[in-house]
Amino acid sequence: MHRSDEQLVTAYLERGDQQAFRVLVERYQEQIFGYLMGMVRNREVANDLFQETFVRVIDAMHDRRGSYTRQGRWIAWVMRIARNAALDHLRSRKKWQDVPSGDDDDSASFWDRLPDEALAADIELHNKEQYEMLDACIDQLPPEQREVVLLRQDADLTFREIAELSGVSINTALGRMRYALINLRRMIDPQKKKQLAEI
Amino acid sequence: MDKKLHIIQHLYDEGDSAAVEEALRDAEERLEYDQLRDLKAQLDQRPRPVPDAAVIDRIVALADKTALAAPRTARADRPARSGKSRLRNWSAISLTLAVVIAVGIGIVQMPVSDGASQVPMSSELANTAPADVSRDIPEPIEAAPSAPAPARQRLAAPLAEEAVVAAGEQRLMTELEEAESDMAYLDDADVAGLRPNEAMAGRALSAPVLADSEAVPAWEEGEALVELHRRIELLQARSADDRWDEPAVMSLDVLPTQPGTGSRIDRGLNTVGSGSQNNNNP
Repeated sequence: MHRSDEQLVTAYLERGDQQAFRVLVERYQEQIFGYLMGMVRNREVANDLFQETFVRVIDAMHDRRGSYTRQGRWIAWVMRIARNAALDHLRSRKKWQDVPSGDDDDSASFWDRLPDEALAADIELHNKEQYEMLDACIDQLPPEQREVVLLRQDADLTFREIAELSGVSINTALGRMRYALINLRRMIDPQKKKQLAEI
Repeated sequence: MDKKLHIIQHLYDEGDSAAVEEALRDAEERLEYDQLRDLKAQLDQRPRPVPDAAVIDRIVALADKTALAAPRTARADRPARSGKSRLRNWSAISLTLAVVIAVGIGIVQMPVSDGASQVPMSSELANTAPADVSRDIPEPIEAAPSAPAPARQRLAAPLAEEAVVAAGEQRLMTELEEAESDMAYLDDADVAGLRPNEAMAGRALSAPVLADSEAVPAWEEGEALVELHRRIELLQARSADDRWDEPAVMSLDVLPTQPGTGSRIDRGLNTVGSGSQNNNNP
């Protein structure tokens, strides 16, 4: 029998139903973990952030930290926490990287370094499957566009939910998605031509 | 919203399909839509990564531990109320309601004016109130049947004074209204060519019959009744010698020529003058 998110949340909060909470986690693990993987591009870090996200979720559901109001979809609320966890991680990495290290490029931030990492991903595109090539192309997107793609494509949030989560209008969220798709297509086409040429 | 944004919404099964159909009539928009739709199909085919199973186990264990430590948000069902407690509640509500209604009625029936300011005046008026007036005014015994006699007298004195004043004012007003009404009626009769006595006789005939409750004089009109009674007695004494079958005015040729008949003629004229108002005989 399929139980709704609201029923599962109620079963966990009011009866301490452990199995109900497991169903919730497993139901949305792909969406949440896919988004985190897309943001940090590291499986170990994504696992840590996934766990950190649910520690915050459990605390908020028991009113220990934050507040959980049963409004809107439960996954949208959890995705907000996952996004905050990911941004906290990225900010901490940015601070660590902004410490002067004696390199010539010491002024570059984390976001400025993304093309370099994506460049490494470009090199791997020759030996990877198409979906890996797509992930690499998504990594090369500007952060705002990449986040919208991950939230809509992986986390299955609606554009309205994305707009509320990001603090922008729905038109802005839609515009970012459109530019992200156009940019992805422009990146994918040369890769495909290159693959065909190698064949 | 821009047409291109409608296309994005439609790609992800959101938004208004009618707006998209309108946008797709444009060939350029149609081409972009087809290209983005192919790209989305490729994105949908990507395998979605999942976290390690150990991570999920740790999360569920933490959730279980937290749920055991936290108090349950759900409250236990309260026991059913017994019929006795329900009856007790209704009795208390009814009693409270009755008390409130009784107090409300008491407040409504209380006199508005301050009683303390009337006490000195009433004692003064009790000493100066005329005896005939206090005799005509019924005492408010029903309001205070167990009150002692001096107290009742003090209560009756200001009421008697007020009643006398009110009766006088009412009588004056009534007489003024009647006089004005008579004047207006006589004016109308003059216009119609009638004489005053004929007009007044006709008005008396056309006056509506008073109801029983209106015909009975009020107790405040005792003085007027006494005056009316005296007038009736005076008229009866004056017309004691007259008979109904006698003509009110006799022709000069039938009048006796003996001395002393002038007083009879005068009485006849007086009878005609008063009879035209009081008697409506033709």
